[in-house]
Amino acid sequence: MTAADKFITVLLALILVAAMLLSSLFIVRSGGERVVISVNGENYASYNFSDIDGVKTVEVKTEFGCNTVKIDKNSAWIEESDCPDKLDIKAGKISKTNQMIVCIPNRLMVEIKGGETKADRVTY
Amino acid sequence: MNILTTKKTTGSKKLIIMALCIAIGIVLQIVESMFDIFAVPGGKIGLANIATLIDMFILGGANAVAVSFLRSFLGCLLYGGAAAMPYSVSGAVLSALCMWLLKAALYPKVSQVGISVIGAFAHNAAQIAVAAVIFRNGYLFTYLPVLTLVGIAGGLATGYGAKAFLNKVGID
Repeated sequence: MTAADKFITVLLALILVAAMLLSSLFIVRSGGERVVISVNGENYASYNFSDIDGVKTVEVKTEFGCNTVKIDKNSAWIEESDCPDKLDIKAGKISKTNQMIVCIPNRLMVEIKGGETKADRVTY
Repeated sequence: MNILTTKKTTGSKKLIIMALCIAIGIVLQIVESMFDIFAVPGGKIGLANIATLIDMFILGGANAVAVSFLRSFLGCLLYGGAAAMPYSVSGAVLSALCMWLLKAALYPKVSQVGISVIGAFAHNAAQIAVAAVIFRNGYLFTYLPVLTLVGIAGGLATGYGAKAFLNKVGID
Protein backbone atom coordinates (compact mmCIF):
# COMPACT_ATOMS: atom_id res chain seq x y z
CA MET A 1 0.00 0.00 0.00
CA THR A 2 1.59 3.26 -1.07
CA ALA A 3 1.48 6.55 0.75
CA ALA A 4 -1.02 7.84 -1.79
CA ASP A 5 -3.24 4.80 -1.19
CA LYS A 6 -3.28 5.47 2.52
CA PHE A 7 -3.98 9.13 1.97
CA ILE A 8 -6.92 8.45 -0.31
CA THR A 9 -8.42 5.85 2.00
CA VAL A 10 -8.08 7.90 5.17
CA LEU A 11 -9.31 11.09 3.53
CA LEU A 12 -12.33 9.35 2.06
CA ALA A 13 -13.13 7.69 5.38
CA LEU A 14 -12.91 11.00 7.22
CA ILE A 15 -15.14 12.76 4.72
CA LEU A 16 -17.70 9.97 5.03
CA VAL A 17 -17.69 10.00 8.82
CA ALA A 18 -18.13 13.76 8.75
CA ALA A 19 -21.02 13.36 6.31
CA MET A 20 -22.68 10.84 8.60
CA LEU A 21 -22.33 13.16 11.58
CA LEU A 22 -23.74 16.10 9.67
CA SER A 23 -26.61 14.06 8.38
CA SER A 24 -27.53 12.76 11.81
CA LEU A 25 -27.34 16.28 13.23
CA PHE A 26 -29.06 18.25 10.51
CA ILE A 27 -31.01 15.99 8.23
CA VAL A 28 -32.64 13.57 10.62
CA ARG A 29 -34.72 15.54 13.08
CA SER A 30 -37.31 14.94 15.70
CA GLY A 31 -40.84 16.21 15.22
CA GLY A 32 -42.03 13.65 12.76
CA GLU A 33 -45.63 14.39 11.81
CA ARG A 34 -46.59 11.99 9.09
CA VAL A 35 -45.66 8.88 7.20
CA VAL A 36 -45.36 9.23 3.45
CA ILE A 37 -45.46 6.06 1.38
CA SER A 38 -44.39 6.22 -2.23
CA VAL A 39 -43.95 3.70 -4.98
CA ASN A 40 -41.65 4.24 -7.95
CA GLY A 41 -41.24 7.87 -7.04
CA GLU A 42 -44.94 8.56 -6.91
CA ASN A 43 -47.02 9.28 -3.88
CA TYR A 44 -49.01 6.29 -2.75
CA ALA A 45 -50.44 7.31 0.58
CA SER A 46 -49.70 9.53 3.49
CA TYR A 47 -50.87 9.33 7.09
CA ASN A 48 -50.61 11.78 9.96
CA PHE A 49 -49.42 10.35 13.26
CA SER A 50 -52.07 12.38 15.00
CA ASP A 51 -54.81 10.48 13.14
CA ILE A 52 -53.54 7.06 14.15
CA ASP A 53 -55.28 4.97 16.81
CA GLY A 54 -53.40 1.85 17.80
CA VAL A 55 -51.62 0.26 14.86
CA LYS A 56 -52.60 0.98 11.30
CA THR A 57 -51.90 -1.58 8.61
CA VAL A 58 -51.28 -0.45 5.05
CA GLU A 59 -51.06 -3.07 2.35
CA VAL A 60 -49.03 -1.79 -0.56
CA LYS A 61 -49.71 -4.02 -3.51
CA THR A 62 -48.31 -2.85 -6.82
CA GLU A 63 -46.94 -4.27 -10.03
CA PHE A 64 -43.54 -4.32 -8.34
CA GLY A 65 -44.52 -6.36 -5.32
CA CYS A 66 -46.36 -6.48 -2.05
CA ASN A 67 -45.37 -4.97 1.30
CA THR A 68 -47.21 -4.54 4.56
CA VAL A 69 -46.50 -1.21 6.20
CA LYS A 70 -47.47 -0.67 9.83
CA ILE A 71 -47.89 2.66 11.53
CA ASP A 72 -48.44 3.45 15.17
CA LYS A 73 -48.68 6.66 17.16
CA ASN A 74 -45.08 7.65 16.53
CA SER A 75 -43.29 5.17 14.32
CA ALA A 76 -43.55 3.17 11.14
CA TRP A 77 -42.14 -0.11 9.95
CA ILE A 78 -42.52 -2.82 7.36
CA GLU A 79 -43.87 -6.08 8.71
CA GLU A 80 -44.10 -8.21 5.60
CA SER A 81 -42.51 -8.08 2.22
CA ASP A 82 -42.28 -10.34 -0.79
CA CYS A 83 -38.83 -9.20 -1.84
CA PRO A 84 -35.96 -11.72 -1.77
CA ASP A 85 -33.70 -10.11 0.84
CA LYS A 86 -36.23 -8.65 3.30
CA LEU A 87 -33.90 -5.79 4.14
CA ASP A 88 -36.89 -3.51 4.60
CA ILE A 89 -38.19 -5.71 7.41
CA LYS A 90 -34.74 -5.93 8.95
CA ALA A 91 -34.53 -2.14 8.90
CA GLY A 92 -36.83 -1.98 11.89
CA LYS A 93 -38.77 1.07 12.99
CA ILE A 94 -38.38 4.68 11.98
CA SER A 95 -39.76 7.61 13.88
CA LYS A 96 -37.75 10.74 13.10
CA THR A 97 -38.23 13.20 10.29
CA ASN A 98 -36.36 12.29 7.10
CA GLN A 99 -35.73 8.75 8.20
CA MET A 100 -36.70 6.24 5.56
CA ILE A 101 -37.13 2.56 4.82
CA VAL A 102 -36.63 1.46 1.26
CA CYS A 103 -37.54 -1.73 -0.53
CA ILE A 104 -35.53 -1.49 -3.71
CA PRO A 105 -37.00 -4.40 -5.71
CA ASN A 106 -40.53 -3.26 -4.93
CA ARG A 107 -39.62 0.40 -5.44
CA LEU A 108 -41.25 1.22 -2.16
CA MET A 109 -40.24 4.04 0.12
CA VAL A 110 -41.62 4.82 3.56
CA GLU A 111 -40.54 8.18 4.93
CA ILE A 112 -41.25 10.22 7.98
CA LYS A 113 -41.88 13.86 7.23
CA GLY A 114 -42.78 16.74 9.41
CA GLY A 115 -41.66 19.82 11.26
CA GLU A 116 -40.73 21.69 8.11
CA THR A 117 -41.07 25.41 7.85
CA LYS A 118 -43.41 26.78 5.21
CA ALA A 119 -40.39 27.36 2.97
CA ASP A 120 -39.40 23.67 2.94
CA ARG A 121 -42.80 22.37 2.10
CA VAL A 122 -43.23 21.90 -1.61
CA THR A 123 -46.54 20.93 -3.11
CA TYR A 124 -46.77 19.32 -6.49
CA MET B 1 8.40 -11.98 -19.20
CA ASN B 2 5.22 -13.85 -19.92
CA ILE B 3 2.25 -13.35 -22.16
CA LEU B 4 0.58 -11.09 -19.65
CA THR B 5 3.48 -8.71 -19.34
CA THR B 6 4.57 -8.37 -22.95
CA LYS B 7 3.55 -5.03 -24.32
CA LYS B 8 2.45 -6.34 -27.67
CA THR B 9 -1.26 -6.97 -27.67
CA THR B 10 -2.51 -9.14 -30.46
CA GLY B 11 -6.18 -9.51 -31.20
CA SER B 12 -6.33 -13.00 -29.81
CA LYS B 13 -4.47 -12.09 -26.63
CA LYS B 14 -6.97 -9.31 -26.03
CA LEU B 15 -9.90 -11.57 -26.77
CA ILE B 16 -8.75 -14.29 -24.44
CA ILE B 17 -7.89 -12.03 -21.55
CA MET B 18 -11.10 -10.03 -21.86
CA ALA B 19 -13.17 -13.19 -22.05
CA LEU B 20 -11.46 -14.62 -18.99
CA CYS B 21 -11.85 -11.44 -16.99
CA ILE B 22 -15.50 -11.11 -17.92
CA ALA B 23 -16.14 -14.73 -17.00
CA ILE B 24 -14.29 -14.41 -13.70
CA GLY B 25 -16.14 -11.20 -12.99
CA ILE B 26 -19.50 -12.81 -13.62
CA VAL B 27 -18.71 -15.73 -11.35
CA LEU B 28 -17.50 -13.41 -8.61
CA GLN B 29 -20.63 -11.29 -8.97
CA ILE B 30 -22.85 -14.33 -8.65
CA VAL B 31 -20.92 -15.74 -5.68
CA GLU B 32 -21.02 -12.39 -3.91
CA SER B 33 -24.76 -12.05 -4.29
CA MET B 34 -25.13 -15.15 -2.17
CA PHE B 35 -23.54 -13.46 0.83
CA ASP B 36 -25.78 -11.81 3.31
CA ILE B 37 -25.35 -8.10 3.01
CA PHE B 38 -23.49 -6.47 5.86
CA ALA B 39 -26.22 -4.51 7.58
CA VAL B 40 -26.71 -1.89 4.97
CA PRO B 41 -28.92 -2.42 1.93
CA GLY B 42 -26.58 -3.02 -0.95
CA GLY B 43 -23.39 -3.20 1.09
CA LYS B 44 -20.99 -5.35 -0.87
CA ILE B 45 -17.41 -6.48 -0.84
CA GLY B 46 -17.16 -5.90 -4.56
CA LEU B 47 -15.43 -9.15 -5.46
CA ALA B 48 -16.11 -8.75 -9.16
CA ASN B 49 -13.96 -5.66 -9.12
CA ILE B 50 -10.92 -7.90 -8.86
CA ALA B 51 -11.53 -9.03 -12.42
CA THR B 52 -11.97 -5.45 -13.61
CA LEU B 53 -8.70 -4.44 -11.98
CA ILE B 54 -6.79 -7.37 -13.44
CA ASP B 55 -8.02 -6.50 -16.90
CA MET B 56 -7.19 -2.84 -16.34
CA PHE B 57 -3.58 -3.57 -15.52
CA ILE B 58 -3.07 -5.97 -18.38
CA LEU B 59 -5.04 -4.40 -21.20
CA GLY B 60 -5.65 -0.85 -20.02
CA GLY B 61 -8.34 1.34 -18.52
CA ALA B 62 -10.54 1.71 -21.59
CA ASN B 63 -10.63 -2.04 -22.00
CA ALA B 64 -11.51 -2.45 -18.35
CA VAL B 65 -14.52 -0.17 -18.76
CA ALA B 66 -15.79 -2.41 -21.54
CA VAL B 67 -15.13 -5.51 -19.45
CA SER B 68 -16.95 -4.07 -16.45
CA PHE B 69 -19.95 -3.20 -18.58
CA LEU B 70 -20.13 -6.65 -20.14
CA ARG B 71 -19.50 -8.37 -16.84
CA SER B 72 -22.29 -6.59 -15.00
CA PHE B 73 -24.70 -6.74 -17.92
CA LEU B 74 -24.21 -10.44 -18.58
CA GLY B 75 -24.00 -11.23 -14.89
CA CYS B 76 -27.40 -9.69 -14.25
CA LEU B 77 -28.86 -11.30 -17.34
CA LEU B 78 -27.65 -14.68 -16.20
CA TYR B 79 -28.37 -14.47 -12.50
CA GLY B 80 -29.22 -11.22 -10.83
CA GLY B 81 -32.27 -10.39 -12.84
CA ALA B 82 -33.05 -7.51 -15.14
CA ALA B 83 -34.32 -5.41 -12.24
CA ALA B 84 -30.83 -5.26 -10.77
CA MET B 85 -29.28 -4.09 -14.02
CA PRO B 86 -29.55 -0.32 -13.69
CA TYR B 87 -27.79 -0.49 -10.32
CA SER B 88 -25.20 -3.06 -11.24
CA VAL B 89 -24.23 -1.72 -14.65
CA SER B 90 -24.14 1.93 -13.67
CA GLY B 91 -22.05 1.09 -10.63
CA ALA B 92 -19.63 -1.10 -12.54
CA VAL B 93 -19.15 1.35 -15.40
CA LEU B 94 -18.77 4.50 -13.31
CA SER B 95 -16.41 2.66 -11.01
CA ALA B 96 -14.27 1.47 -13.94
CA LEU B 97 -14.20 4.99 -15.39
CA CYS B 98 -13.08 6.53 -12.11
CA MET B 99 -10.46 3.87 -11.61
CA TRP B 100 -9.18 4.46 -15.13
CA LEU B 101 -8.93 8.16 -14.41
CA LEU B 102 -7.10 7.65 -11.15
CA LYS B 103 -4.73 5.14 -12.68
CA ALA B 104 -3.95 7.46 -15.59
CA ALA B 105 -3.38 10.38 -13.24
CA LEU B 106 -1.47 8.86 -10.35
CA TYR B 107 -0.23 5.35 -11.07
CA PRO B 108 2.30 4.17 -9.95
CA LYS B 109 2.05 6.58 -7.01
CA VAL B 110 -1.21 4.80 -6.24
CA SER B 111 -1.42 1.06 -6.31
CA GLN B 112 -4.36 -1.20 -7.08
CA VAL B 113 -5.42 -0.77 -3.46
CA GLY B 114 -6.09 2.95 -3.62
CA ILE B 115 -7.60 2.62 -7.07
CA SER B 116 -9.93 -0.07 -5.80
CA VAL B 117 -11.07 2.11 -2.89
CA ILE B 118 -12.01 4.93 -5.26
CA GLY B 119 -13.71 2.37 -7.46
CA ALA B 120 -15.76 1.19 -4.50
CA PHE B 121 -16.88 4.74 -3.71
CA ALA B 122 -17.78 5.45 -7.32
CA HIS B 123 -19.72 2.20 -7.52
CA ASN B 124 -21.82 3.06 -4.48
CA ALA B 125 -22.31 6.64 -5.59
CA ALA B 126 -23.64 5.52 -8.97
CA GLN B 127 -26.03 3.05 -7.38
CA ILE B 128 -27.43 5.64 -4.98
CA ALA B 129 -27.75 8.11 -7.84
CA VAL B 130 -29.76 5.57 -9.84
CA ALA B 131 -31.94 4.89 -6.82
CA ALA B 132 -32.42 8.62 -6.26
CA VAL B 133 -33.74 8.89 -9.81
CA ILE B 134 -36.02 5.87 -9.59
CA PHE B 135 -37.42 6.87 -6.20
CA ARG B 136 -37.33 10.58 -7.05
CA ASN B 137 -35.80 11.30 -3.69
CA GLY B 138 -32.46 12.90 -2.97
CA TYR B 139 -32.53 11.90 0.68
CA LEU B 140 -31.36 8.44 -0.39
CA PHE B 141 -27.88 9.92 -0.47
CA THR B 142 -27.90 9.76 3.31
CA TYR B 143 -27.18 6.06 2.79
CA LEU B 144 -24.04 6.79 0.80
CA PRO B 145 -21.62 7.41 3.70
CA VAL B 146 -22.38 4.23 5.57
CA LEU B 147 -22.56 2.21 2.35
CA THR B 148 -19.18 3.48 1.27
CA LEU B 149 -17.53 2.91 4.64
CA VAL B 150 -18.41 -0.74 4.20
CA GLY B 151 -17.35 -0.44 0.57
CA ILE B 152 -13.93 0.91 1.52
CA ALA B 153 -13.23 -2.20 3.55
CA GLY B 154 -14.26 -4.29 0.57
CA GLY B 155 -12.24 -2.09 -1.77
CA LEU B 156 -9.09 -2.56 0.29
CA ALA B 157 -9.54 -6.31 0.30
CA THR B 158 -10.25 -6.62 -3.41
CA GLY B 159 -7.47 -4.18 -4.22
CA TYR B 160 -5.00 -6.32 -2.33
CA GLY B 161 -6.38 -9.41 -4.02
CA ALA B 162 -5.92 -7.97 -7.49
CA LYS B 163 -2.49 -6.63 -6.55
CA ALA B 164 -1.40 -10.03 -5.29
CA PHE B 165 -2.38 -11.71 -8.55
CA LEU B 166 -0.83 -9.01 -10.70
CA ASN B 167 2.41 -9.01 -8.72
CA LYS B 168 2.55 -12.79 -9.02
CA VAL B 169 2.42 -12.61 -12.80
CA GLY B 170 4.92 -9.82 -12.97
CA ILE B 171 2.88 -6.64 -13.12
CA ASP B 172 3.21 -3.98 -10.47
